[in-house]
Formats: sequence, C-alpha cells, structure tokens
Amino acid sequence: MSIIVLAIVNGFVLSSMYAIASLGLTLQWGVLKVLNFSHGLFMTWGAYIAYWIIAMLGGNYLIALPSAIIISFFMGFILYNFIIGPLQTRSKTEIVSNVFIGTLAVSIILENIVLIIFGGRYKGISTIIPGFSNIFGAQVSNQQILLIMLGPLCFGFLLYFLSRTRLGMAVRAVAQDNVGAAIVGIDSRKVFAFTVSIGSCLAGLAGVLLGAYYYLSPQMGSAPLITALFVLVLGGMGSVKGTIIASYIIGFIDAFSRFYIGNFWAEPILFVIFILVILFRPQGLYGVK
Amino acid sequence: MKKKYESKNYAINTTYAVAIIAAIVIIGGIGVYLYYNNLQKPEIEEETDDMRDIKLGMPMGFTGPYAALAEDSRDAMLLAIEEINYAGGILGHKIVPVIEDEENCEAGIVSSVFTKLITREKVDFIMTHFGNPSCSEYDIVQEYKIPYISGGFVQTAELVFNDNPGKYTYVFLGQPSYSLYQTRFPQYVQKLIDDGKYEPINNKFCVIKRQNEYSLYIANGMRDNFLDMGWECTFDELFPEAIVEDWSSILAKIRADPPAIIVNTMWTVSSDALFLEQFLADPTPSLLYLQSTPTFPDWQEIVGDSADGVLHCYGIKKVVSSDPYIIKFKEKYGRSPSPYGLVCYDYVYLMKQAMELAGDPFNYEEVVKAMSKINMPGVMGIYEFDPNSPDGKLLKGGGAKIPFPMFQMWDTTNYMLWPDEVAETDFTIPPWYEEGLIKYGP
Amino acid sequence: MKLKINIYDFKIQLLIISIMLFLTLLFNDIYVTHLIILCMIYSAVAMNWNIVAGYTGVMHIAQQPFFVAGGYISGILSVKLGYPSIIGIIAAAVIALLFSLVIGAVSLRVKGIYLLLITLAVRLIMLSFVLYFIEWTNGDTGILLPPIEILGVKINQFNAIPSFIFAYFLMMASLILVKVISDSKLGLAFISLRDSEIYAISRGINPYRTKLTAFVLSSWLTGICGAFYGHYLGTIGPWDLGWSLLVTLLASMVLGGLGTLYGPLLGSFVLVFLNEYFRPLQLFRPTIYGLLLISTLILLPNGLISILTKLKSRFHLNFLTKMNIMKSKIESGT
Repeated sequence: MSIIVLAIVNGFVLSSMYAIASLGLTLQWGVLKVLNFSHGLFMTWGAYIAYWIIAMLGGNYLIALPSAIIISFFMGFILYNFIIGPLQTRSKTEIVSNVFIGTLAVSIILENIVLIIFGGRYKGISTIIPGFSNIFGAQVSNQQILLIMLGPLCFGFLLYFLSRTRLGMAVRAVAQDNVGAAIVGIDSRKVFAFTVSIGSCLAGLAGVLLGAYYYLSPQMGSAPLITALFVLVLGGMGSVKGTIIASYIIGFIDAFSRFYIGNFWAEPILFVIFILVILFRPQGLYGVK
Repeated sequence: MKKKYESKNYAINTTYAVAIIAAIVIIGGIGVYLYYNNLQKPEIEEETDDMRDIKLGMPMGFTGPYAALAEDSRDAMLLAIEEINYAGGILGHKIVPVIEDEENCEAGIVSSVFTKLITREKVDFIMTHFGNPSCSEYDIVQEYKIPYISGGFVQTAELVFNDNPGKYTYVFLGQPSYSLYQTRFPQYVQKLIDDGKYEPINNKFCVIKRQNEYSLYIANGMRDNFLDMGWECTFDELFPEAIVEDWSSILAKIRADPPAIIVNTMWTVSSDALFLEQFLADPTPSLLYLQSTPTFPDWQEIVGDSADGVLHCYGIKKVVSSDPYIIKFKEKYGRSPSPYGLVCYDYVYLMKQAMELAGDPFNYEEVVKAMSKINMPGVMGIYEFDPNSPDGKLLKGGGAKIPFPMFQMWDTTNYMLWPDEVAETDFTIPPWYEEGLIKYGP
Repeated sequence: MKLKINIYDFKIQLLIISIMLFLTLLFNDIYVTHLIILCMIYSAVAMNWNIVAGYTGVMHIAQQPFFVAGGYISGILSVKLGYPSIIGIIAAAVIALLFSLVIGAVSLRVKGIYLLLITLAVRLIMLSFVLYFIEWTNGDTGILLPPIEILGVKINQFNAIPSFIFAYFLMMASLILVKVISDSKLGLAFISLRDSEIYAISRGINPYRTKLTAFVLSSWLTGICGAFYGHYLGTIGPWDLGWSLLVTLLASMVLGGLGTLYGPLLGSFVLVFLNEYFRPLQLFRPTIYGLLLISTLILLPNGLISILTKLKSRFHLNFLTKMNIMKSKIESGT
C-alpha cells in the first residue's frame, strides 16, 4: 500500500520540479520563438548561488531564494540584450540554429565559470525543511511536501500574471502576434527582454530547489534541460497550460515506469514518446501549430 | 526628435567585427603567453644531458565530467614534484610538469594531446589517472617509446594486455587487477557467517549497477560469486549512465522483499548519497555495500555520520586523517585528497625510483626495465608489478601489497576490517539494523 | 603571353587549397599534421552537413549519428566479425545511407525546431543503444579499431602521409560533391526550398522528396569519414556522440558560413586550431572558446567566410572602378 503512496508522492514531486523548470522555457519559446539551450545552466547557477549564500556566507533560504531569483533575472536580461536579441534581428532565416549555437556557447561558458569558482567536487546544501511526516503509512519528507506545493503555486502566479496584469497581457500579445502587438503600441523588444528574464528567474528557482533536493555539480543542469524539452513538446511549446498538464503527465509516467517497467527502460520510453508526439501531434496538447 | 520606436541599426562593419574577434584571440593569446612564461614551459634544448630537466607530461581531463578527480591527481603530482625537487631532484635533474587539458578524454583530443606532449614538448615520462576509456593512448606511447603510467580503466586494460602479450612494454598500469573486487565482499560475508559474527536474515541479495564498465564488471562479478555461494538474487537492476536521483522504485522492491545484502555499485557521489538518504528513511535489516564513493572526501562531507556502518572495499591501504601525507596535502591545498590524490603522488615516486634504478632518466628503455622490477612502499601500499597479471603490467593486489581491505565507515572515517594483517577493528552491526529488524525482520 | 589565373575558377581554388595543405607537410611536425587531418575530416563532415542545413535550410543534428554510425559499423565489421577494413568502409557508407533514409523519412515530416528536437532525440537514443548492445559495441569502453589496409599500406595515426592522403581525398570528395550539387538543378531546388518553400512548391518541386534526397546525399560520405576517423584514431566510442564533438562540427559549419562552399572548411580549420592554441589555458579554455563562438556568431552573421567575401567584393569593386575609369579615359581620348 505504501508503495503506491510513495509512487504517487514521487510523481507529484517530480511533476512539480519539471513544471517549474519547463515553464521558463515554454514562456521564452512562446514569445520569442527560440529555444534557449542555456536554461539548464541557469538552473545550475541558481543552485550555486544558493550554495554560495548558504554554505559560504552562512545565510539561509530566506536570503538565498530571492537572491538566486534576482541574480537570474539580471543574467537573463543580459542574455537577451547581448546574445538572443542581436541574433534575432540579424539572422532572419537561421534564427533557430543561430540561437541554438549561441545559447550552447553560453552554456559552455557558464559551466566553465562554475567549475573555476567552485571546483568539480559535489556540494550539498541543507534541506529547506527538515523532518518527515507520515502520509497514509509512507514516510514522506517535509521537503517533498514543500516541493509538491511549490509547483502549483508557481504556475498559479504565472497564470495570474499572464491573465490579469497589463504586462502579462503584453506578453501574451507579443506571443500571439508581435507585429500586431507593435501596432497597438507594445514594444516587443522590451517584452522579449522581460520574458527571457522571467524565464531565467524560473530557471534559477528550479535550480535552487534541485540543489536543495539533490546535490550540486557543474553538470547538474543538463538532465533537467532534456526533461524540460520533453515536457515542452508534449504540452505544446508556448502554452503555459499545456506545459503544466504535460509536466504532471511526464512526472507520473516517469515515476510509475521506474516502479513497474524498470529503470533502464524509463529513459528510452520517454524518448520514444517524445518522437511519437513530435511526429503525430507536434503542437502537443495545447499548443498552436 | 528621436522617434520612440526607431529601430537600431544592427548592421555591423565587418572590419569592426574582425577587430573584436581578433581582440578576443589576442586576450586568449596573452593567457597562453603567461602560461608559457610561468615556468611551466620546460627550458629549451639544454646543451648536455647533465643540465636537462626531466619533463613529466600530465594530461588530464580538467574541464570534463571528472574534473574533481583530475584536480586531485594534478595536485598530488605537483606536491610530489615539489618535494623531490626540493630534495635535489632525480639524480640531480629537476622535474618540470607539463600539464595539458584533455576535456572529456575523447579519443581525438587524447590523441592530439599525447602527440603534442611527445613530439612538441618532448616529455620524458607521462602519467595520468585516466586516459581514454578504450585505452587508445597505449598505442601512442608504445609507438613513440615514452614510459607511461596510467591509473584508470583497469578492466579494459587487462583485456588489452591479454590480447596483445608483450606488446606494451612502455605502458604500466598503476593499479592492481580489479578481480579482487569481485571476490572480496562475498568472501568476507562468508567469513563473518562462519565466525558467527553475523547472522543474515535470509540468504538473499540484490544488485544495483550502472551501464558503465567499472560498475558492470564489479557488480556482475560479485553477483556471480554470491550465486555460486548459494545465495539468491532478488533483483539485478541496471541503470542507464546518468545520475539517479530518485530511488523509490528500487527501495520499494527492497522493502517488499528485504534482502540481507544490498550491493550498490553506482559509484557516483550524488546517486549514492541520495540512495543512503532515502534508504535510511525506512531501512531494512540489510548490510549495505557501496563502491568507491565512501573514499571520496566530498561524499564524506555530504553524508556525514549518516553513513555509519556502510561497508565497502577499495584498492588502497587505509589512510587516516592523521597520516602525514594527508596533513601535507591539506596544508598545501586546503582540502582532503580523494584516492586519486594518493595514488598519483605514489606514481611520481615510482618514476623516481625507476629512474634511479636505471641510472639514466633519459634512457627510456632502461627506465622501463627498472620499473617492471620495482618494489616500493608508497602511501597507497607496497608497489610491485605482478608477473601473474596480464603481461605483468598490473600491480600485485591483496595481502600486504595493495591490500584491498574491507572497510566499514564510522564517523566519516573508514576502518579496515579484513584481511587480518591490516585489520584494525571488528565488524559492527550498522546502526539502522535494529530499526530494520523491528519492521522487516522475519 | 601572360598566364591568366582566374581565381574564381573552382579548379584553381581546389589547386590553391591542395597546395596550401600539402605545404603544411613540409613542417615535418607530426602534431600539426595530426591536427590538419582532424580538420580535414571535420570539414568534410561539416560540408556534407552543409548540403542539408545550409543549402536546403533544414537544420538538424543527425549528422553526428551518421558519423559515429559509420565508425561503429566499420569497427564491428573489422573487430567483431573480422572483415578487412575496406569492407568496413564500404559498409559504413551503405549503412549511413540507409540510416539517413530512415531518419530523414521520419524527421522531415515536421519542420523547424521540431526537426531539431527529433534529431536530438535520435542522438540520445543512439547513445542508449550503443551502451546497451555491449556484446557488439563494447558499451562504455568503445571499440579499438585496427588500421585500414589498402594494398598493403597501413593507415592510422602513426602513418601520417597515407592518412593525410586519405583524409585529403575525403575532404576533396566532399568539396566536389557540394560544388557539383550546388551547380546542378538539384542544388537549385535545394536553395529554392530554403529561400521560399511555397514558391518552390508552386514551381513543382516536391519538398519532402527533395529534402530526403539532400539527406541521403549528405550521409554516405559522412559514414566513410566516420569509419576513417575510427581507424585513424584507433578507437570509436560513446564519447564521440557527446556534446564536445557536436559543438566542434556544428560550430565549424555555422561559424564558417552556412550555405557557402568553403565556409565549413574555413570554420573547421579555424576552430580546431584555435582550440589547440588555447589549450594551455587549461581551466579557462572553454570560456575563451565560448566567448569567441558567441562573438563570431553575433558579429559575423554570415560566417567567417563573409570576411573573404567582403575582401573579394572590395577588391572587385576597386578593380571594376579602375576598369571604368580606364574605360572612360580611353573613350574620352586621353
């Protein structure tokens, strides 16, 4: 009995983390129509900023979390203004490949900087909320409960922001049709910069949670990035609602296939689902073709 | 009046672009120049052999996935070089390190780096902790006849030596055969049962392994040995080559049918730490065996006391934190060394002894001959090449040589339990055993 | 009578490149020769990739799987099954071709970023397969390949001149292939698909079939290059499917100049040599390398080859202006 509970709890935790990691990416794709491959490294940086504040400066999560988010925001802003922006305006035909290589190069640089400053050894930071609780007979850590709650909180915020605030509506307008948005007076460059910054914020937050839940190393961002891509494709690139639902689907498929099919095949199965989705329904669940 | 939405002119002069790119290349070039001026470039073309420095090539993967190990190896070698140079060098010649980055040790880069070291930098000896996983660099050093000590990919190296007897005279593997890993733990468990010190709850065991040569070799070997001893395998789980963060499915299997022995050869700090953490949340009365991670300082730091009672076996002699070498290393570099930080220190001294025995550091043939006859006590154990190993290339393991002791971890320290000549304490039931017995006991 | 050397003639350009390459052999430095051989192989792969990604406008990262598949096929045939290396190379070309047919048929049903993602997934799946079928591929360890033997001449990294010649032929073959394609009607079809697919369709070009042809044309030489790479270095393994090689190949194509003839050639030489030049920086090398990649990408959007194009146009412009001035002088009778 407790095994099923563990699997379900696990499904929720994984889904939450995938959701936070993928939301940033889907926002950037929906608005800018480019894939930011340095998203994984922004997560790594979020984790290492938290490590720096907690382990090296002696702070706690109340300082680390906002700092990681703010620093990621600025890093995203710089990323847009110096790299993605110029690439967008310069290369009309080869935007996809140019941004792909550009962000890949950025990820090389960022990973190298982390390696230089912190070294290659694994680091750990303390859990956010220590302790365990007992749910339906299974031992669930309090941190897992926090993670389960944070996912819906994040996208609740995001959905509220996108639908009720003026800036959110501007973001949606630019995502839909940036020429039309310009006609109505929205400066798409500013919206682009803002979107990349917010996406990077979410990546930083995801990074802090990843660092707290698991351990830190310079290569910790590559696996979450691949999973975020899966979630994105399944949910529909650019659709926030689709991403949220897809992250839960992928989270549960991941959790349950590990339980019942075997760990070695969980990954290839996800790859095959990925390819099938792209082939037969590239717009995913809720995306726009 | 400037219009608000006037688009910027993004066209950039090609000259300007070339200038910026050239600037970056020049900045990089300044870095290269500084490196060469930082006394790392060996002195060029001494007149006589008497004045020549010994150039030691150290190609390692500093920017790859095993960057931490590369750092430790390099630091250990630099420490040894400093000591030897301070004491007058080898037969009066100073050692000069020539360090190169191999990124992720892929074949093309290893090839380029080794060719560069041998033909450009003209090194007299090469040593590294890891080469390319398929041991492709053996052909290079053999072709150019430069002595080479490597510390990695032992199981592949054994196969290569077996397939080419007598070919790789210039290659030495600074590790004993890992076949001892396959038998050590099963034999020790049997010994504990025979001595009456441990009574397993059943005769079941489970194996967790990763899609990686080292892991598969050890895990499959141990599994076969346990099966031969009459044990039953509850499951044999293979993981892909990735960090495993979530162990719930495995732990669910373990808790559903608790085995007396859990063998986990994932050998990644992160995966093992998470396994331990999630296992201890609801432990079973099993003995836990982990491979290699308990000897890494970052693992010890991360898990702390929670690893009390974990069993493991590793091919080194125990080195306590009060050991003079560890204190030296810590003083110089501010951190504890991982096992590669011990082994690579010894390699430099092996080179020293071989060169001194040969009488001439630059007569590579004699150095190589002397190396095969070496018998030297080091930090890791006593180094002697085993004529029974494939081609005589590997060190002697077991016994007093490189002991392969069974360790148990207490208070982030590893205590040797067996074999008797190195044992310092007795096996103790791990702290989670009681708790597990209550919930999952028979 | 003056000998007219028209620098814009393809054959003359080939001759110039060949002379420059063979001159490097005069350095008698095996390290430089080794690097040049690697450059030639990478440029051959990049040029083949350019057929699909540059001329047809279909950006994908399946070239690395074709390359490594060639290496593995040759390795398996040479080592596990004991066939001579020539059979391995031919088989590598054939299997890479079939492989590209399958992957192209599957991936070309979608466009743009989705195509990129499918090929990314293909790469990851191939990595899993390679690690799984241990009896054939030796998994993590990789296969140690013997040297290629042609008429008694061994080709591997210790036989510099034969390897150089083989790699040179591969590079020339790719260059000639790209030139022939770009000059032919098929090449025009590719370019028209890149520039305006709708108009191309309206003129009767079947996009799916044409793009599939591009895929297939670009893969067989890549397979042979992969086989050579494996035999030359003596080993092929899962590390060849990693990010490092992908960045090298992709960057040499994109930074060299997408859709140009000599772009990938220039790109691969510049990148490999810069990477080696920066190697003494050890830990800091990836940062400088990455900075260089980004700045070249942003500042020179048409690739490094645009520097040469700019030079050419300036030279041409000067020349034309001078010709015009002379002509007007002649006509006005001075």
